[in-house]
Amino acid sequence: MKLRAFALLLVAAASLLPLLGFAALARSRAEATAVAEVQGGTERVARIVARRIADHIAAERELLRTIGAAVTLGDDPALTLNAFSIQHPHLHGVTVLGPDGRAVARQGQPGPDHDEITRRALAGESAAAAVRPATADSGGPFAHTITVGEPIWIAGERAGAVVATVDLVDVWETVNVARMGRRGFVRLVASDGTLLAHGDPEERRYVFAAVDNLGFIERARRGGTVVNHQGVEVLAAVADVGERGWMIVVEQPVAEALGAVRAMRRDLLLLGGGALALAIGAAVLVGRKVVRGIERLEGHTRVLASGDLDARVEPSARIAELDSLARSINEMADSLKRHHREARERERLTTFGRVAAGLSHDLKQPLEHVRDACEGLAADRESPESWELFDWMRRDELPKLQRFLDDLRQLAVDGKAKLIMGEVAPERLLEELAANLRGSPRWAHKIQFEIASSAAPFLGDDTLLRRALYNLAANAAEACYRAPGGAGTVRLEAADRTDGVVFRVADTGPGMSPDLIERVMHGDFHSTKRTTGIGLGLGVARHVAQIHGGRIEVESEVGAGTTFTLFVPRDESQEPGGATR
Amino acid sequence: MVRRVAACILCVLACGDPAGSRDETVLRVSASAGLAPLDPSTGRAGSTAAALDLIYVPTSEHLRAPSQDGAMVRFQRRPQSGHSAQELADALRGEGLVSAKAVGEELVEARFRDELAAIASLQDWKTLLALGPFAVEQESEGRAVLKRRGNQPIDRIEIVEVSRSDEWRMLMGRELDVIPRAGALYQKQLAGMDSLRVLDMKPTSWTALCFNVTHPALRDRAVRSAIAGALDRAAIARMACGSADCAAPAPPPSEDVALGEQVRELGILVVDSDSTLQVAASVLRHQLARAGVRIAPETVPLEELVARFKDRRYGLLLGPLPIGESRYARFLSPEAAGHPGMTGFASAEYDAAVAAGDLAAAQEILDREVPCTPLYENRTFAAVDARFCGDVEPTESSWRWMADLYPCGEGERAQP
Repeated sequence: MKLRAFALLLVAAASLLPLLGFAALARSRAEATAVAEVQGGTERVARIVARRIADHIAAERELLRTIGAAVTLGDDPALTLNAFSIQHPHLHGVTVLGPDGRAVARQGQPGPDHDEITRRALAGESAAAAVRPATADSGGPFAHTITVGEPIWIAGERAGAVVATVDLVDVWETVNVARMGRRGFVRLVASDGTLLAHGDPEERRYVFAAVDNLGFIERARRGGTVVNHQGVEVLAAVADVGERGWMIVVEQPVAEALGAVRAMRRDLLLLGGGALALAIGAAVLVGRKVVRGIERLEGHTRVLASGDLDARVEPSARIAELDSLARSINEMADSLKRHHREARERERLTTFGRVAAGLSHDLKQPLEHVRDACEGLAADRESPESWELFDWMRRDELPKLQRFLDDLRQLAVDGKAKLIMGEVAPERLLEELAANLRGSPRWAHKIQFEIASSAAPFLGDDTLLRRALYNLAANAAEACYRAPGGAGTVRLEAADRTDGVVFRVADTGPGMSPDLIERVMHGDFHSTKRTTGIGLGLGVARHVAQIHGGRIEVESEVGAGTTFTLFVPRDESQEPGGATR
Repeated sequence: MVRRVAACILCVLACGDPAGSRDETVLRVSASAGLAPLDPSTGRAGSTAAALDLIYVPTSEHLRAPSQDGAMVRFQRRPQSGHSAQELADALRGEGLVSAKAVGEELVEARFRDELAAIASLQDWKTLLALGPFAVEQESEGRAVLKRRGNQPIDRIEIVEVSRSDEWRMLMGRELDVIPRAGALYQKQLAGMDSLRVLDMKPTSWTALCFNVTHPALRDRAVRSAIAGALDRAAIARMACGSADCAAPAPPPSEDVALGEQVRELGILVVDSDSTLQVAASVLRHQLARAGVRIAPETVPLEELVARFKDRRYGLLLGPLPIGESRYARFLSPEAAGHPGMTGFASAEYDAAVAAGDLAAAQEILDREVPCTPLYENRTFAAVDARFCGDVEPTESSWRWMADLYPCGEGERAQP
């Protein structure tokens, strides 16, 4: 993950998570509280409306008793009843009966439950029939009706009964005026589920339609939300009206009842969004400075890594830690530059020493040959052997010296010797090398040099390979010479391999321990020289193998001898003469 | 598999015809003033006259210059009529019409039962053309189904005869879509119902107390005048239309008559389908009781009321009386009107005044003779289910406006 993204996420999470936690908790608590309060309020309203309905019914009964008494006592019962009927048009089929059950006055047609209710009212009971839903043949009444009978009492004596069919449209007003909030309404439902009244004008239409109110009430009693006939989700509370089993349901759309909570939830969402935006903004503003400072330092380290140790970074982030880091990087660059300079000095000295050592080593033998030739001539100017030696020196050894000087100059310029490719005949090379070694007075008669070659000619630098093999063979002879007894055999072999030519130089000397082999093969000139006597010769041989693309390996057993193997790959792409690697 | 493929093919075929998938639109209308056969030759009582306007158009819209010759009447086709003479002859309906045929391209010849019927047909409203937006598809007792003739958006109109008090329940219970004419008394119960459109109508009639002037107790115009003067119209209006401001003007002062001595008891006829009239009758009963006249309301079905009205078997009657000048025709003598008068009132002086167009003199006679006395203005309105849109202006006398209703489109909201 990029540092920039990580920083943004970190800042956003750090700022938003606590806010989200707080918002979730606040919303949960507020919603629970609001729902409880709304539910409680709804239930209170339901109880109040239920009491009002009960009072209304009681008032209706009282009105009937008053009508009954007034009609009974009036001079013109029919006219009195007519006057009451005009004023109370929701009363239909009003019949006032005397104690003997005979009608004193009657207004309109009696309802279907008239006889039964009359009988009970005459018996002294406040009687009421079941609600009769308004149907197409209901006649005069507008809405549902209930036939009610009341005994008439005058001066403590029962004076008959009054029976009327009450149009329940009259209770609508009581239901209509009750409101819960702005869109919370009240419905009045009979015990059988008949909708008697509804405060919502649209729901009121269902007074005259067969709909399932009992199911609605059952769901409302269980609490929570209910969907009404219009498909609106409402919070509803139910209260019983009284002994008739009527029920009041107060219902308020959830959208309104929980409007405040939803507004709070919306506000919290907005707040959270704002906080997130602020957090991201702050992260972008602050984080960008940090990230840019880090990215600048990262770029600077790349410059340093590319080798430009003179580059410096300005500590301008205005962030203490970043500026301190910039200064540390600058100090580190100073230190690196200093160490780099010292290392180069050391390397230059090492190289100088190595070149000087190699020069002295490689020049040693030709110079000895030059000295031998000069001493021979000085001793006997007329000796043909001396002149032969001098001629050999001029022909063979002086070109070698010239080559040494050329290699030395090449090394000084490029750091490696230049290959002069040509055909190398392994067998001839080994023969000449063995003859040369046998001619050395140091090992004469003590060290045997044997050769064996099955290798075909190949392309290589004859002079350098000759020098490398001479060094390996001289080292081998020296190892045998220095061993107890001072004698031994050095065997020179050349053989083909599929990918090149292998030269082996095996001796019967004292051999080398693994530790010594490690130092010989991986140490520098000085170390090998000082400890083993193999010294510079092996270093030169290794360098020659490397610039040919080959390698040198060694196998040795203490007390049994050592075998050095120089492998030179065949390179058929090279043309003989002048090509270099 | 084969069944599934067959079902898919049938489905594609069925769904391929957009017209076939359209639901039929039926407008359910109440006829609370009674519904007679929808034939102009048989009568126009109750809601029938208004409903006829959905089926018929006046003859004068397509025919002109009628000339009568015995039982034959000839009409000229109007040049702007979009129908041929034969189509017009086929569409001609009227009381006493025996046959009609086209004579040439421009003449329609109608033969009536007799010369009297032919003469009567010359009045524009006597003969009609069955070229209205709807045609009668089914007709039975208390119910008629009209089917559209042209491209009306309403496919069918179902007219159902119901009582005034029942039509409300049916409308609110979504059993009806239109109440063409309703009294203001229950209008408050519709307040706030967005699913119903309440369309006020211009008042065109009074509710009047009419006297049977041939009734022994009411022959004396002083008695009629005293009864008219004894009524508190504001009180009646409060109970019948919900407000005193719909009360009719008080009549001129009456002679001082001891009503209780002149009239002891009177019956008052009220149609049983109109609860508002019953309320008004109750108030009348109470008010006249104070004047010493005992009133016995009789709520009867419309048919009985019409029969007793024609036979003059009543004392008092509550019924509508036009506000406009057409009311003067109601009091013409049988000789002048060509039919029995509504109250038995007959006055040559009145007939002459009406014939001369002196309506002030005619009104003066009516005020003096008091065959009827207006009580309150009939404030009415139509109620239409809000599923039906259309900028309509309902009238009491014609239901033609219903042809302009259409089912509201998606997102369209009917104007109240």
